[in-house]
Amino acid sequence: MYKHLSSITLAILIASLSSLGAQDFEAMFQERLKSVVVVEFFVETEEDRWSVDVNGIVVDDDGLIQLQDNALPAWIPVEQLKEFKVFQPGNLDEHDAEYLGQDRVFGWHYVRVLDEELKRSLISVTSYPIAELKTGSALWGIGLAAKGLDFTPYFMRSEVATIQPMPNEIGFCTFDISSPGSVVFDLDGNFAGWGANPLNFDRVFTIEGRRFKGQIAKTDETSTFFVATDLVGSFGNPPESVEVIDWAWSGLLGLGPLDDEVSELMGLRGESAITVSEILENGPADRAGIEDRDIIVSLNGESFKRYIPRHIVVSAFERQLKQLNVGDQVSVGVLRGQERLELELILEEHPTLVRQAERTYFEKLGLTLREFLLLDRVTLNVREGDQNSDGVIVSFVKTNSFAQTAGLASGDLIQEIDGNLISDYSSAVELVSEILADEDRKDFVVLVRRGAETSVLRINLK
Amino acid sequence: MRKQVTRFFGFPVLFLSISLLSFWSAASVQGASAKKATNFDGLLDAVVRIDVREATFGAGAKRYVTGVGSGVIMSRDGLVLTNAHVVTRQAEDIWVTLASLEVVRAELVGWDHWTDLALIQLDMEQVTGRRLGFSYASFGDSEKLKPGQVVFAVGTPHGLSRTVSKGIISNSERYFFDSRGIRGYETGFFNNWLQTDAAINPGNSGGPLVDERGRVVGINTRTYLGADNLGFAIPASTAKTVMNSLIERGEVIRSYIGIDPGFLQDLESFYDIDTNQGMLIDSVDPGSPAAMAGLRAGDIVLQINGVKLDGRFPEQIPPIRNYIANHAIGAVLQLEVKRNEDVRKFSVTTERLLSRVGEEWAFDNWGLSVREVSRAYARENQLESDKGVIVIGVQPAFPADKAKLSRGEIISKANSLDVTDIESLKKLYQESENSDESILLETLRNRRVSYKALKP
Repeated sequence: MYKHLSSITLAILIASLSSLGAQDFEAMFQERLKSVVVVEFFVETEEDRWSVDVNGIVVDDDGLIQLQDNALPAWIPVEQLKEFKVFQPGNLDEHDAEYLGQDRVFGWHYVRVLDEELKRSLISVTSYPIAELKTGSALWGIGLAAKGLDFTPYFMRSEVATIQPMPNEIGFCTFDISSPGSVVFDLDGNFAGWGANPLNFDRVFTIEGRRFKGQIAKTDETSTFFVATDLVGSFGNPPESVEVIDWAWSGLLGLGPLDDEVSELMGLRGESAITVSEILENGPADRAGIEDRDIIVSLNGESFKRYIPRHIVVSAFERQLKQLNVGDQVSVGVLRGQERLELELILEEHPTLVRQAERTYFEKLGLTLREFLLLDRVTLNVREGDQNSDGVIVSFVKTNSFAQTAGLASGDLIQEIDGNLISDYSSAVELVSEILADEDRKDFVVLVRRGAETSVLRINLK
Repeated sequence: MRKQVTRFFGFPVLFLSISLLSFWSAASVQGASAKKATNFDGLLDAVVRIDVREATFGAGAKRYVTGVGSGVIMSRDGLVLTNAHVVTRQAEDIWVTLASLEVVRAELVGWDHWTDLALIQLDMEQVTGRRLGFSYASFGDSEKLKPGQVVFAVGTPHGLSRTVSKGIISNSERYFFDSRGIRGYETGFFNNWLQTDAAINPGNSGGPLVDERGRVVGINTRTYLGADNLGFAIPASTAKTVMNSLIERGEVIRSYIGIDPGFLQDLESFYDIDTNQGMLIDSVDPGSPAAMAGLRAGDIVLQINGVKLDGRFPEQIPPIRNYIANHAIGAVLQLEVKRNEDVRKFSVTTERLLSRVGEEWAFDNWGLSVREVSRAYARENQLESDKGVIVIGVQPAFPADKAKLSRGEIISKANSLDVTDIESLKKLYQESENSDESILLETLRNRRVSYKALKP
């Protein structure tokens, strides 16, 4: 009923706008405020707890909120994100919400409003027509003040300076246009975009006659936005569950862009290309016959666009792969020396992410142990089949704890506990639990690997 | 991972930095003679000031820096002992100011960064030609030093020649480990240090620490900058052996097996061994002789070639390292090792100990300076091979800079040929002098491969 009403209001508004010559923004502003919310949650780690406020947009009629990929800290396991709440602009009434997970292609996070009444008072951005933008198009957006100022919304106005593929279409404005994560419209009230990250600006500071160079960025307002026409396909795709990571994976490691001069020198004539540093052994790319130091020049027969800056070609390529499913086959064109090859790559399941890894916190030691993942193996350069190639990762060490006093540090790989080789996570947890259960124990000994070196450390228990 | 050490000795240990202060004095010619110093006064005539001009390759070009240090004449024929960080392998001009204030040229005989010692030779033709005189000192017994014993430091603090300061031995067996080394060169593995409260300042480096009779008991090397009177000297016992080796061969050849010892302190019960027995292996360098032989971190070495080891405390580690290093290259060491409940025997064939710092060079026209990847550097950084050269400097607006080469990157290939060492790059450099064709470089940083076009 309400929704029906709102779309009528919308029609009237749009009609009135054109007749008013886009002067009366008040009504339009009040209406479109219903498409933006503030999401608040707590991050609760072993030692700390802090709150995060981020802006999000309403993307369906059932209280689905979309947040940007950097809205949640990527390394924090989902179970450490607590108490999701939703606020409306200018209102400190909090409403319960639930975290739904992350979209695999674009990385957007999703939160669902649980309060039925609030759901009904929200308007999805998808209910507005999409604005067609040109250089110079006049835009307005919504700024949101901090919590201490009741998230008060305010009007902002600017024009399109340029639009660039990065690989998302990003609009750059002549001045700040909205708060990051808030909404941008054209003068007719058509949905124009979603406030993106504020830019870093090189600035020179002169303090008492001394010059300092630095970079400066706002945190509350931005001049960039995700262009709505490009966003349309990416609205409202929450994963089936928070735990599901059904990302497809190539097993290509250390991708980088190729410079123009280098590309010329390699005879690529200005083609955009991607270098491959490493191939995961027995991974999908390895099976496809791709080798380290191959230069990727095409995907499914299509060569890559030239982006500004050039390195965007890598994220564009990764984006293309993310859109595919596990088991999909793609044809990868590579340059190997003078030879051009077309190799068939079958995508496989993405290995477990660090934030999904199993972990246990041992309060008495001030130590969190976590599963040793395939991705850790890659980062730490521990090859399977190496002597001592397994272990368990130290993911947290509390300040002045027994673990820290012994010399353990976050990121260490524990390979032996009391002389026992650690072959998997659960046996490590079991061993440590047994040690801690024994009240007579004064200490235990671990063998730790850090970089190319190892060390025997004694951890006191008393 | 030397955490245990840094925790105990976690203050910044700084070299006596070499000051740029220099002054030249009027000459007063005396008769040419060298006499043995038999007392403290004699010793003062054996202490010299050393001014050095040396090449550096850090800035993408060959540059020169100058420095001042101290030294002590140790022989009738004009051999001067000093620190390796005063006179490095890259020294091109060395001037020595004798006690008579006369300045003579000197040449590097050899250096040993592992113990931070260098030996230079006075230009004796100049000395006799100008009929100059000096004394030469002799070593005292550093093993017999006791805390509290009075010692004197003589040298050139902040360029102030022949400064004598007095103090005592504060600790005769100080252990510390310095991970930064001498401009990257490893140091301090093979000796403990004499600690003294005799005032030691930058410029004292290389000067002698002497007893009341003027006998050299140590070479002043380090101090904690910002601390009061915490000076460190290399003991004469180490200096004597190193000096002999430098006289004989111009270098000190040491053996390496690739183990990093830990301290057994408090771990004996865990390993079920008697106290004061065995040396813990904390780490085994990948690909090293010890790794090849099957030794592992956590093993306890009880004996080497029948000699029992005792590595309970940090202070006991340098002598053990020294014991291993003193074997001939290629010698087979028989290690008796305790692993869990078993005692096993391992045969380890030593190889030559090499620095992590390889040879350096600058390609001036490219604005690029490089250092060879050494075996030790490759092992430390988990590289697949010791091929390639590391970029250590790039000059702004030169071809290397335009190609976006940057410090720390490893150049592994040039025009699809392996860059095995500096020589292979030198060849390319010569060829490129008469050509304007771009060179395609393959580089590595943290295992990430990039390609760069270097346009000469």
